[in-house]
Amino acid sequence: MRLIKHIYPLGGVLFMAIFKGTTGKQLRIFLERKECIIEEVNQDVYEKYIGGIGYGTKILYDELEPGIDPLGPYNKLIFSTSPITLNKVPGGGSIILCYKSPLTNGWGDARCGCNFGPDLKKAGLDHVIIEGRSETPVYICINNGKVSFKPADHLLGKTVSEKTDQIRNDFEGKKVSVMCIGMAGENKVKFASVMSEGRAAGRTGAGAVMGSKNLIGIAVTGTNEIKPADPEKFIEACKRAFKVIKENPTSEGFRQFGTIGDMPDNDETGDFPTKNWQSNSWGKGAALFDYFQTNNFVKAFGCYTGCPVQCGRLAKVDRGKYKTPLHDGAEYETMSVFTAFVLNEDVDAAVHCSFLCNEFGVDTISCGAVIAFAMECYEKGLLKEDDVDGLDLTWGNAEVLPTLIKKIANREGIGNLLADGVKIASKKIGKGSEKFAIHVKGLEGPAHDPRSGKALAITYAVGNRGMCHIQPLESMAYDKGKMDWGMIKFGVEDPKGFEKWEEKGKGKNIKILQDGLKLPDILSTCKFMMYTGLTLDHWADMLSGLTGINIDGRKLLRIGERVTNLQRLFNMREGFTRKDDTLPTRVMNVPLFGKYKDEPDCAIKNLDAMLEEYYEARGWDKKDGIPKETKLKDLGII
Amino acid sequence: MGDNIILCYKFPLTGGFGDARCGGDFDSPSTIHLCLKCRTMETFSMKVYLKPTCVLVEYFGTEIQEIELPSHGNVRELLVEIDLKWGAELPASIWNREKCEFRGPIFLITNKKILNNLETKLDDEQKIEILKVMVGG
Repeated sequence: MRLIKHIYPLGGVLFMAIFKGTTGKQLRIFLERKECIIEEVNQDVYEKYIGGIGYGTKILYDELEPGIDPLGPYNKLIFSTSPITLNKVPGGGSIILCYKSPLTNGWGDARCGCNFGPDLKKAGLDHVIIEGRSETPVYICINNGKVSFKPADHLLGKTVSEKTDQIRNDFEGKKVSVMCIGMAGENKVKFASVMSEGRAAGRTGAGAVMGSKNLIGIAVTGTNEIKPADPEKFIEACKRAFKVIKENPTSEGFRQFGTIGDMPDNDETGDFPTKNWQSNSWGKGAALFDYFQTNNFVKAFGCYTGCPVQCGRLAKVDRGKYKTPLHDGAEYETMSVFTAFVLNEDVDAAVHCSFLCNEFGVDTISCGAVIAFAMECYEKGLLKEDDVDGLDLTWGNAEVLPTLIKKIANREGIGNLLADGVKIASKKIGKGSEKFAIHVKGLEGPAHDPRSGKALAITYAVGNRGMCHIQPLESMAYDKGKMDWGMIKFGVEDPKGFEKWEEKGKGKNIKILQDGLKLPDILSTCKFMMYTGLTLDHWADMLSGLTGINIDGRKLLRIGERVTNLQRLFNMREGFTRKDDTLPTRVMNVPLFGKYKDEPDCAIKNLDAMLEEYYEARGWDKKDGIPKETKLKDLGII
Repeated sequence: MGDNIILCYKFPLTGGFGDARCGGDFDSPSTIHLCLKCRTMETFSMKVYLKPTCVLVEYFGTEIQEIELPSHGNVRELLVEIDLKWGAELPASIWNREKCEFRGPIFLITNKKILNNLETKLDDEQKIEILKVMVGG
């Protein structure tokens, strides 16, 4: 492989692409030598996998050796866009990071809503692939044709905001997008995030991968303009999409209430994991939401320039021991894990925790989950006062939360144990703690409960990155919330025909929904656009107008299926088997308290049967969940 | 009391004590309503049709509900009527009795437009949907 420093011509067209409307270039960085090369993007990969996690999955599957240490030099970190990762596309302000996860040792990806993706394109690049490890801490600046490696010793130990401001100063007033890690990433906390302007590429430990490479930040700016293959068609497709979103009431829902708007109803409907999943409802959701709306919420916020939905919340705490400056945070997941998960009723404390996680660069979900786990260990006497540095980990003790977050980010004391996630922490603690370490494949469960809508049991069990509610699919939105995301056209049954606690018949629908809802991640766009009315056909129209390729919703669905299967192969190669497609027993049982404690029907009765139905729909072996050769050939994977 | 009627209640707008006196002829107590604007009693002269959708049928029923309002009825008045009719049974997850409003992303929609402004005047026989959206994440 050639190892040269390369300065590519600004706006130059180095190849005639089938895919127009892209830069056609990717930057491969070799950190140990502080060198980089520009490569042409592989057109075959583009056609079959497009971009985002599609492109990332293919590259990592081809280039990573199985069994490598995710925190070693041979892991690769990809910053990936797609052709429509553009500010003028609804949801186009986005970037997807792909890597082998240090938290799960399997497939890892994390999406961040921000201007980084579009700005990467303006810098003349579709993807950045980072290899190796720098001997000393560095950050990378990509400025319209020029790549430079800057020493980052002075940034160590600083918060994400401080790092961002200092890196930004290097660009002398230019509009620049920065992604960086916090102390958590520096200390290789296994659920460290990569942050951009208060937004997180949160789950599965991208920040730890970046920290393991001694890469503290990466900044991009540029003036490259993408020229659509068919400008009129592209503009019309975007206009149609914006109109659909504007007219959809869900957009207004997002804007007025943010994701935290679902908190009261989730609590009511048993979709609110409480006290480390001992229950699925608490009875305090409405009060918590009301307090936030009245005392903490300032205004709606879009995470990237041009967002038509503005689901973000600018929030603050004006006074008191949890005084917190105005910041972008307080998502539903974050607020839930720092309230219901740990039985904390102090909303100010939860908002403060959200801010700290952003500043330290920690995934809020995993952080809240591991603290809840620790609280249960403490309650049961598995962790004593000495084990937890004299802290009081009683349920509901709000004061201990900020201290624990800081300890986790810095791997201090008890924080060092918790920084590896619940799976490893429970192995080290032992004494039966594994029973209440709530994770699948090592990824801690988020604030949605399959006992509210059992389709979620399938997606949690089989999720390629673990117990994830959004990647690719919020399944309880299907059988409980009756959403179909425009997928009935592609064979999904009308959700109104399902009861939320039914188990039969959901597997085959989840298969199609997963493939479809994978597309925003493949297109490196915001999935909420599909909640506000965009369908696969809308994405296809924009993609066609931009790139000149002939594509429709059905072809996109097939690409979604292809990526799902390839990620499955990636995980199988890393040693994951059918036995890893499971759920913690606690999550399947009737809740121990709360509204649903006397509702035996909410328990997951036969996960195996649900999974068999799902595997069959996927064309995988019904018993062991291995993709059949016929399916892989059909998808063009082999 | 003669021809006068005094009603005492918890006033939705303030959460405090409310009372209204009225005199005159009335067909039956069921046609007596409190008009918030005038703070007088009058026989309401217009109606709107409320259609609950999706999961809200669980609380409001599947039928279209006829709601009587004063002639100058607006969104605020409609919310008060919703509270009077269903407020006691609606769970706190969707209805805020203190503020007499829906809690979270639940909207009144007419002609594809969300009725965000409480002062928006409603028309006689106007059809209004109640829609709950999911703002997942």
